[in-house]
Amino acid sequence: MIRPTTRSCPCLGFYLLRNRLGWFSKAILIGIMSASSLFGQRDLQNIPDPDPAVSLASFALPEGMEAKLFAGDGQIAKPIHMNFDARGRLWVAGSEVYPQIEPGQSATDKVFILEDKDQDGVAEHVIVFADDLLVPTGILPDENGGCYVANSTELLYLWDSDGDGKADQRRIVLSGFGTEDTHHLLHTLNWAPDGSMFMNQSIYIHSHVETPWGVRHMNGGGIWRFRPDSVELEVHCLGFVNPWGTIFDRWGQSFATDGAYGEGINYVFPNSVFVTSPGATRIVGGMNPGSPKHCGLEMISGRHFPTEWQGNMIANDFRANRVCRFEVEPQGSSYRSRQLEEVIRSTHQAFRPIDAKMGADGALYIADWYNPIIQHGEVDFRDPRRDKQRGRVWRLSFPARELVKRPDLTTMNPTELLEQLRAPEQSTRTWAKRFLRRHPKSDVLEAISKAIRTTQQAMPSPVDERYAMEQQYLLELLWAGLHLDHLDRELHRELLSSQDGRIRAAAVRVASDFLHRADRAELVQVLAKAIQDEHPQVRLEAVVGLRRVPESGSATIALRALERPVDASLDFALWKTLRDLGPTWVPLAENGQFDFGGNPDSLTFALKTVDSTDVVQPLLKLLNAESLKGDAANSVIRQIALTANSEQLDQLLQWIERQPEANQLPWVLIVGTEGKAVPSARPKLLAEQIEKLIRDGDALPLDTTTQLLRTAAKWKDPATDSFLWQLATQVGESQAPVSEAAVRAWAEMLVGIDPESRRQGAEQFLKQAETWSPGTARRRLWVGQIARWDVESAVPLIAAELMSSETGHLSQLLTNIFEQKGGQEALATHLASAGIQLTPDVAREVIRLQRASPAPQESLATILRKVGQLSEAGWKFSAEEQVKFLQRIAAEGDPVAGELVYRRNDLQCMNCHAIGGVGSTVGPDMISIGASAPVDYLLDSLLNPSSKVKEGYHSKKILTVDGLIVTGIVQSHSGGVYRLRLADGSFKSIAETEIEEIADGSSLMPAGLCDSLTAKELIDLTSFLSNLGRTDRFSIRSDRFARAWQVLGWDQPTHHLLNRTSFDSVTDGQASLPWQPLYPLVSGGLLMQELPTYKIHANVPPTTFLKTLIQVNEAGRMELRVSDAKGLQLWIQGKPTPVTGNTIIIERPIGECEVILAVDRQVVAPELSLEVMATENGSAVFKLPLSFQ
Amino acid sequence: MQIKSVFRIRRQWFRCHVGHDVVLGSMLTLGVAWILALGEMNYAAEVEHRKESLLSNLGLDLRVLDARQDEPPKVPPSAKLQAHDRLTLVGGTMVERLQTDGRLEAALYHSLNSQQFQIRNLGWSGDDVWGTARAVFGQASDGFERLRADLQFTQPTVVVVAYGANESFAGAEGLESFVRGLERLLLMVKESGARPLLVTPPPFEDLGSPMPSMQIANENLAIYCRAIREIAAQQNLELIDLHQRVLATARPSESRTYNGVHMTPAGTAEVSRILAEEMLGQKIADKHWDQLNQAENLLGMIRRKNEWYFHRYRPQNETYLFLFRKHEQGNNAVEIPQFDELVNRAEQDVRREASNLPLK
Repeated sequence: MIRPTTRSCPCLGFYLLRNRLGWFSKAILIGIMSASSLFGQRDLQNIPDPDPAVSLASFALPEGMEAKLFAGDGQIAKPIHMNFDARGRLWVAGSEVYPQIEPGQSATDKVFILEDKDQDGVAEHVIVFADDLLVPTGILPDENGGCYVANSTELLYLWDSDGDGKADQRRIVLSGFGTEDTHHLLHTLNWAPDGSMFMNQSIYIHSHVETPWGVRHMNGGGIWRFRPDSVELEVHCLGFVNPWGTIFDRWGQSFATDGAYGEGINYVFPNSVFVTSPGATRIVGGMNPGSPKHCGLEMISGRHFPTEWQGNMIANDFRANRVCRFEVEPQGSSYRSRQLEEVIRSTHQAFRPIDAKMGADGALYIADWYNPIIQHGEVDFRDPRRDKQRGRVWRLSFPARELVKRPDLTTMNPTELLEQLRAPEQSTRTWAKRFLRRHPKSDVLEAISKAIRTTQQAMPSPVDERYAMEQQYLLELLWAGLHLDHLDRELHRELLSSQDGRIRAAAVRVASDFLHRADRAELVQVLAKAIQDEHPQVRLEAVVGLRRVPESGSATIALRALERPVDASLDFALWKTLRDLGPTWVPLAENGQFDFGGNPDSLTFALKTVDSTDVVQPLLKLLNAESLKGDAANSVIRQIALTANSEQLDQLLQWIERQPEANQLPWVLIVGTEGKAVPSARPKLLAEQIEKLIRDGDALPLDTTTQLLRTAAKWKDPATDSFLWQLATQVGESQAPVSEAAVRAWAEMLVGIDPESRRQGAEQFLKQAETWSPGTARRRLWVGQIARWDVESAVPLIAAELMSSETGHLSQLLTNIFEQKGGQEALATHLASAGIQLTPDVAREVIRLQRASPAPQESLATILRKVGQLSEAGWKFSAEEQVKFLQRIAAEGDPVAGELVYRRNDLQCMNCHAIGGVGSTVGPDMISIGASAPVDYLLDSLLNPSSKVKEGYHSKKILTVDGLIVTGIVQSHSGGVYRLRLADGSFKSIAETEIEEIADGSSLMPAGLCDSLTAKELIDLTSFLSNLGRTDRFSIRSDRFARAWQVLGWDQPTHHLLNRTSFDSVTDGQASLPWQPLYPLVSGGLLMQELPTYKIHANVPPTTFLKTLIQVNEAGRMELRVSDAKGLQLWIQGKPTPVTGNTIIIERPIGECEVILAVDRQVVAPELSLEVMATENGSAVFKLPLSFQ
Repeated sequence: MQIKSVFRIRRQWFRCHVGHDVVLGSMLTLGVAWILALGEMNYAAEVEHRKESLLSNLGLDLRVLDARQDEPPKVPPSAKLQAHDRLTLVGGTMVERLQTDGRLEAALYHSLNSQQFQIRNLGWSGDDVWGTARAVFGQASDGFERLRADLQFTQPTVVVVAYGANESFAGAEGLESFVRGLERLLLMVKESGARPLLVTPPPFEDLGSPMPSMQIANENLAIYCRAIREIAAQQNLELIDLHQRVLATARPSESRTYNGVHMTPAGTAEVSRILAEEMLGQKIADKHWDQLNQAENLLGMIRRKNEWYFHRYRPQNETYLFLFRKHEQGNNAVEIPQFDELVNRAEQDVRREASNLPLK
């Protein structure tokens, strides 16, 4: 009997049918952010008020700060990037053509120059410097009155030769930049302290640029370093999604933000690699995980801003209409960053801050692209809501503080210009150095020498607080020379041995950037010394500098970095350098001639950086010669397994066989799971070893046995035939999981063997399958396998099973036929033609499984609805119905209730999506979705997940040579192997040689997830999503809340343990306990009612156990603040700690600190939260991780 | 029969799925790629054998091509272009920037004034004989296939093939690979039904520090130019030895290049004039050249035509219009072919303006 709930809403004039579909474990929510022009038109009335006064009134600012409209609509249009020049004029590139030129439309995009001559904070003078550009996305004036412009495929230089204020000359400086996506084009041009120009490009861009040094390539995102005078172009770093911000600090270190990725401020050292770089197997992360979408980046410097702002970084969260502020401090070889209170918070949805720059007057200027639409591909290019005319620049200042007086650099001589290099304002220092280029080189060099001498003579002692400042001045003088391609060798040597580590690091950078052609011997000497420096940042610079000298000796030097502590950035740098230098030292290592400094750990480190069979022999030799233990041995074995051929794997397995028995099992598992499962790499000994381990291992846990059998399945080894058959056909109920794994492994083996053996095997299998009773789990399992090699024979058997089966266990029967090429079509044809009837419940389950399959065929779903007598399922709206539904969301939506719908287990949104970095990474993070996507897009994405898919979440559909269809998101593609992330969060590797076809897939989020929601639930869920990142309650504004939580799940053994011992046994880390991930509400609170409890004695109240982590980076005190102290017991790193009130002060050394709470459920409030704050005195430096990994 | 054997080879060697959309073109590419792969493995004899069998598969096309080439020439044999030709240019930055210069085209449209004569510039900065810069999200082989499709779309009778400069930075080591790449490209041009017209790259220019010394680069470039000449001789192809012509010309007072590799307006003028004279098989008088240089209307129309064509063969936002995000903006892809009409209209303007241009 069907039980469709018919919900009629006559008052709204529409009528929805809803089927109570069941739920399945892979239920996920990917592909948020979607659009259609149809919705676009309808939403036109929701365009916010464009009056700048309305925007201004919406700004919440820090105390004492004032915002002013510096330039607005009519003066400029669609500003994208901006930079100040030496005279304090603001150059702005804007595009009305964006996102896509129309046929017949001229390229009329502009560069504006804004001038505030009377210095009242408002630009009264606007020059259109150029008006014939095509989506200019980067603008950078120089010292000669001209400017560089990123103009789609080209980097242009424009200048005004006749002084009328308009560019009349144009030169293409570089060309060949990709335009696959106009919001990813070459962009973010800026001057580095050494006179180089840095330029960024984003994820979809592929650039191939000719220079007199050869063609330079960059595929995907990254940052270029360019020397305009010598036309040297090189890759500074790779990766990012959309990095629209780069800045340099006083020591020349660079930082970047990403407008589409979620880790806040990123420290960018040379040769680093970030998320999404094509082919990258390892990446560096950002410093504020969970802090998404920052466009533009500026560092506060100068006398107008209060002291506590100095060095803070400013970036724009354009999606959530706010300007953000970060505090960044050195930590080891890298930095740490902490997000502070916002600079601007606005409720105006078209306020789109996208760039930030310090002006010559010391104020901060924010470019506002002003647009209700910010999506690029997700919203129709021709959507009329896209604003094409407006654009503003806002000026932020402190009226009570004095402005900075602009120095007139144009009239200064070299000596005076050099004096300006002491200015606290970074832009003054930048322009003073550039203006030196307008003077005769000999005059400048003479002035520099003089300034160096004077400074050196008066150099304070290193303990004097002025020492750092004077050293910085010398560094500026060194950089000044580089603006004229002059390296002062004497000064350079002096700075290399400065007492200030950050100055030494800067000097090492200069060495590697400027000596690699001029004096390689000197460079090697510098780097060999720096690799042993006590300051980790100097060692990092040395490691990355060694990439400049492609000799095996460089690898030898680099490995010396392992003699001192190696933190995450240094570890990456060393890995990358050794990998890049691989061709120089790997051949030597093969012959045992590589000088790795005699330390086998160094050789192990080096060999593990290379993915090639070339390093397998040296690695095997290492295993044989050294007694590697624990993780070290595991990682060497893993590395060998990843790259070895079959012969080498056999050598490894032989070695494993000689090891103590306890080690053999885990190592064979590593070989089995990590090896490249292609016939040419199949080790002869693997089958034997697996068989031996299972036969001998009476006490093997079931899951270990099944794991071994899955390994056997992966390698499809015919040698496992009889052994697997024996296990597959055993009947004991207790061994069911083992026999199931064996059946699957046997079936895979059959797929892999020659056709004649397969025919025989298939017969044998079929005969056996028919001996199991219809409708049993075993029969379903066996019948389900047949589709792997013979879809045609499988289909009638499957159909018969569907008629005799109960619901709830059909996946065993259907997974293979659904994943096999042509399987769904064949089943559909059979169901249609054989007159089969299914119960509605069975049909629903089949539809649900089919929708979650890698390539769902709608034809099968249609037939299933027919044979199961189901009505049209799901939510479908006509245009008119949708308008009314959207009105209901606005009027009735309850986001608080919606968050509970979002968290429902049956929907399992949280299984795939994180919010603010907390949760799974299968789908995009939802943190600011509400601020960026209009409600109609959200609703459409919930109902039709594949209509629009977020960058980086596009799946690939792979057909393997044996007919299997696999859909997943490509994580890496290197060494001939694709690594995919599947919809259930697991990973699968497929060798290229096993791939028949590869095509673009759709969203991993199955359709129909919302079918079982009531109208009210769907309204609330949409309302919750639309509030994310937009309203206070649903924004993550503070990083003080503990967000990584685990809760102790209930099981019998743990109950026993607690019953026999005390609560302390939860905290001592001895027993293996069923801790499960727990995701807090967006507000930071934990909903207690959702959580499992232990009631171990009649007189002990029901108790819930919670666990979180604090990462302590510098020892000291911290303040824990709980929302409710009643009924709490607390353990800090296993030690009971009294809860004296809502605030508890603790003191911790460096390292991880585990916090465990036991919560008396009879007294605690329904929502519990924990904040961790710095103390006023003697505070620790700490971080609250977002997960337990 | 032979086609079947190519299918078999392909299945066997590449284990590729042969779908209904397989066309002769991709078969041939794979065949050629396979030959190249074999070549790398030094199976020289095998290569020869396969080349023959592959070419015989191509027999029909080649005969058509040969028949066309056998037509009696209507202009003096030194002329490389005729009024009914359709000229397509392929190459890197030098070729690409001819689009916005226009002087070469002005000279050609003026001299070869007919309703048939057309010029399409498929230059792509950073490109090489393998199609590296055209690959977008794919491999160089995808770039090569894109070039094939773009080339076929222009229906050329003559294709200027101007590569070698970018490849030459690989030095003597890279020469063999370049030669094989160029041969494959020439084969593709012939398959498009056009005759290739090879152009050697102009020499690099040494501009002094901090620009790099181009001495070694120029030595390498000379080797590559020699290889291009040899291929032209072996395959009996027409060649414009731009490298030799520029070397033989006295160094002008102004630099030819901005950066050693990319032409200044003066350099472009020199190169354009050499190319025009060689293509037309006649000298262009100084005064006529000057008049062409000053024909602002004509030059503007040429640039406009090339601008529309640029948006046609290299549209922005390809990711959304044609590639893996086309489910989002694929509906807007209809705009791209709309440039064809604009290009044709602009070209009519160019032809009219060129025919009205009196050179005195």
